[in-house]
Amino acid sequence: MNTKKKVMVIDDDKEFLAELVETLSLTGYDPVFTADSVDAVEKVVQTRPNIILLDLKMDKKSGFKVADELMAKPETRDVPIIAMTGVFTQQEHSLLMRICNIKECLIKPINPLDVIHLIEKTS
Amino acid sequence: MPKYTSHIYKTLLNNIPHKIFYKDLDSVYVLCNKSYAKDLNITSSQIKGKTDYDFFPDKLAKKYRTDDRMIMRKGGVKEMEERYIENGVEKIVHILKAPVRDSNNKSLGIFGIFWDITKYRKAEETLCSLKDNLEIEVEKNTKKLITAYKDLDNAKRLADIGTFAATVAHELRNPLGTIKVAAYNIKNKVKDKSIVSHLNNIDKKITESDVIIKNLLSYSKVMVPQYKSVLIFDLLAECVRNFKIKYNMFDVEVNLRCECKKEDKIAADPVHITSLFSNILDNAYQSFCGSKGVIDIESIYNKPGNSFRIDFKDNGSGISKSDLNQLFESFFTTKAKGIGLGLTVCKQIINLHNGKIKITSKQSQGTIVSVTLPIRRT
Repeated sequence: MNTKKKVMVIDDDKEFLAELVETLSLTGYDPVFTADSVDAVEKVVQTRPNIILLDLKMDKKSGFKVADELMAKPETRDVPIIAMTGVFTQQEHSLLMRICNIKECLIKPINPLDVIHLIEKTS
Repeated sequence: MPKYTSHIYKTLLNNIPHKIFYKDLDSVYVLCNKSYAKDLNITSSQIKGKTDYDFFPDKLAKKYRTDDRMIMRKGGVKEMEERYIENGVEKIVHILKAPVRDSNNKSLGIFGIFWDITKYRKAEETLCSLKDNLEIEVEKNTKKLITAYKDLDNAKRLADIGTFAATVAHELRNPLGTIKVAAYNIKNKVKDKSIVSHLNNIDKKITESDVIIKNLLSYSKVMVPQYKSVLIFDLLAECVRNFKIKYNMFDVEVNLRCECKKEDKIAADPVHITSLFSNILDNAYQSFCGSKGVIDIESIYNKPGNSFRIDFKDNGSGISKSDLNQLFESFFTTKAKGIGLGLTVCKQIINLHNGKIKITSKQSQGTIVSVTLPIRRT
């Protein structure tokens, strides 16, 4: 029986994405990923992850928008989201995150152990 | 000359407000009009045979007569401004003197007409001094304007640098994030200890870079204070508590003596004030070179009780006299790791809160940073 947690990573920084996916799989998760923000919601619907790691500042579509769209869909609304950002660190952004149903936020540069800790705590 | 015409001339002469006289070749008065005679306290018929020595101080009389002789010798009308005494009061007159000649061009004497211009001169003097004052005022205001402009320019420069720094800091976080995770992955894949130590170094430096980024971001935060009613004692105590936690591995002693009442509130931005206190404490810590560090914090009320002063006294390395003058300048730093904005930001925070900051220090004897903040009980 496959008990590996499926973790979706959405980040348009391809190198970061590759490294984080590697970390997750080395740790024992089942990572799925996309670097395309436009395609991200569809990908979540298809793969049904247990948890989502979402970059907030992406080209084309922001992480906030992605989170908002996921919240609007009944099949994805309950998937917990952990945001990752180097930019949105101020208090006013925390309100925006709450509105978009983002449970936790990690500030880049992220400590991989923190990611694992939050995945375990949140999902 | 017919008697009628002569009468008209005489009337004219005596009614004109200007002073008119006629002297002979030896500068002895022959006649004068009523206006002049009145000044001399005589009647016009009494002038005949008198000289300037009879009416004026010797020095002035001598000058008048020298002028007379010169004009009679050279010929032509001479126009000048002259000192004059009228009823004991010194005046300034405008005078025209001309030699008088007969039909054969033989010199007969000298003719003079003059009038009082004292009030015009006085007005001119007043105007002059007003002009001078105006110039001084303008100069003073120009200086103020230049200072204000420089301050503004400096503030704008800092704001620009802040925006720039924030952008760079945010942008750097992404690549740093990738490096950090990559290093973690390599560490999990290789078991070679010699490689792991390199990776640990990378990790350590990433953490250091992150601290630099965090500092940059805190400097660049918008400096518009969000005033709140702040319990100043609690704020200070919290800063000290955080400081102790931050440096708990090091030998630092902090003593807090506070005259402030626990319930004393001030109108201040708690984030700004926290950053101010933390910055001062960090500076104190960085001045301890190996020896046991002691920081005494004392807060006292200033008379008449509308402000209070907090002294942060350390026993660190102190500041040299030449460095003292540059402390608040942007990008001035003596530290190997530092960008020199800490005290600039402190000064800005203090200015925004209408307070004062003063630093006294002697090299190798420690430093006292005095912060004065107004109490605006809310």
